[in-house]
Amino acid sequence: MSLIEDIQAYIGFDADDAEALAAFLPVARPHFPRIAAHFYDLILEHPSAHAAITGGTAQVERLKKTLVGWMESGLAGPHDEAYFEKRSRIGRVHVEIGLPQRFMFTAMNVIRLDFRDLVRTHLADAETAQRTSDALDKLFDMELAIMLGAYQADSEERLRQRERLAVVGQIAASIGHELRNPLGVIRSSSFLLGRYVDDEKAKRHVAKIDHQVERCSRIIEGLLELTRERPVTRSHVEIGPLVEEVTADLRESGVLSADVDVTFSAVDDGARAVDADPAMLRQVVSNLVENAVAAGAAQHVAVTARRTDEGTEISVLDDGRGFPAEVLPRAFEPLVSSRPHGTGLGLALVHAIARRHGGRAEAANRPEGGARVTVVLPRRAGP
Amino acid sequence: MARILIVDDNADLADNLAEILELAGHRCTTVGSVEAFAREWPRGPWSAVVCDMMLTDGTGCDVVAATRGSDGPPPVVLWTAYADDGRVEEALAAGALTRLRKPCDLERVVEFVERLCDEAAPGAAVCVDDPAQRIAVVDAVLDVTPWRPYVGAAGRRPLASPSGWTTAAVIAVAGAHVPGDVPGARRIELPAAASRYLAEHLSTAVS
Repeated sequence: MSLIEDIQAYIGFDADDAEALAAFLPVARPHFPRIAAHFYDLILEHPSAHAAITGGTAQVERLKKTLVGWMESGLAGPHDEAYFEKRSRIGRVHVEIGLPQRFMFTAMNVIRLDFRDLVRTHLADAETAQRTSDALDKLFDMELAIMLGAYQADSEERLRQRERLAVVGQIAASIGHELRNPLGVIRSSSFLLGRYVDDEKAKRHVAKIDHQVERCSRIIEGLLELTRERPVTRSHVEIGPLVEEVTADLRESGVLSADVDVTFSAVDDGARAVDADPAMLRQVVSNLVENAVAAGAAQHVAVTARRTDEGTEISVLDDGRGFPAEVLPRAFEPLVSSRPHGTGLGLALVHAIARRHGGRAEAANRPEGGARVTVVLPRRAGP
Repeated sequence: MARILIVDDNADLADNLAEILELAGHRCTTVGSVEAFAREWPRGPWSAVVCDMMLTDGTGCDVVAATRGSDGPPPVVLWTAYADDGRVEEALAAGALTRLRKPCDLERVVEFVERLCDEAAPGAAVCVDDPAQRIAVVDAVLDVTPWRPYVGAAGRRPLASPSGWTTAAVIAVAGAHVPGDVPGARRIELPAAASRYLAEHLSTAVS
């Protein structure tokens, strides 16, 4: 039995309930915008519930539309696997925005009472009213069960990820020193070998050894960097020159080939510079540009910056293949990579740095093709 | 002739580095502990010391401290895989010239040692209080000037160049303690800006 069937069986939600809801839909539909408005009015009045909404009026308007859609599809059904999956996403979003679980109950009750009112005022037949009311109660409980189930699963996953990171950190710290010394010997021996051998084939192998040792050290450095809790030292950083400098470095080290161009544009003048840790920001830009071209298909990489209510948003867009669907949701997890030679640390480090600045990182595929990774660096809390 | 003392408890690595430097025409001695270092040190003078952080009977800090006891000590380059930045900073504060990472900075180690042993190159005293910034300034000196960098302000003693060196410049980063001046040496003030600007400023000041 699937989870949705299990929930429905427990609550006693059946075809009759689905039918009652569908029948009530045309009666209720005209009132959806009013109920959505009431719902968000109450949230905005409540300081800690309000805190979960960061995007201002435009976001609230979008959310109201989403809520109307939620009411529509909840009553219309079908209450199948696809419905379950869609509803689960709501729970995950609530984890994402850090909404305490209690608000799901209190907010659901607002909707429940508004719908009860609708039934009382619009359904004259007592039996139909009772049937509809029961079905609505079951629907809202089902919604809560799915949402909370997803919320719990997602919180646990995040906890596991944090634990995994902590374990990775301990391992990295202890193997870092142990591995770097032998790597130093291999590296210096191959350096000497390269001097002593004339044979072209032998030289090729020496070059391969060098290349692989280089990769090993990059992995180790990345892991150590990820687990090191260096404090953020902010200063005024001009983004344009930083992008130029990073681009030049990446070209010199062969990561960025000459036929790929990298541009920078600030949407407004206020976004030309940002208050951030210069070394960390450099790492962010370097990793993002490297990531954009690493898949091999990108010809143009655009770095853009803009000011938002929150702070500064730096995005790196490319016209490559984009993230594979299975990698996208886990793009920032350490040791997850879509490339056979990727270390899976580049984006994890970007994410860690954004978080150390009190911000976040987001990854998406662009509708026109290619990927976009955005780092949001909030303004420093004023004195 | 340049003589280099290599301190590393990984004998294979110490031997390899010695071999690489000997190919470049230098003479090297390798030791694997603070104790062995203490025995070898008086057999100087040394042109430069390359030192690991973690040693069986002590740390790079002990080695740096032992070299500072002498007048005009040679520069000490830390080449280490050691992850404890606090301890590395301690060694830099005690007078180590710079820090390079194992294993990736091998070429850089050779580059540094070559420069430090270049007897035709005049010295440049680097006066920076912040260890991380010192690394950046010393890097910049290697990249954009023909000078041999040495630590100018460790221990707050009067400036003393390594024995046999002449000093062409005193490079001071704003806010640093500069213990006196060197007659005839030019003085270059660098702003206490982000490290990436330092090379730029220094290259402008030198040209």
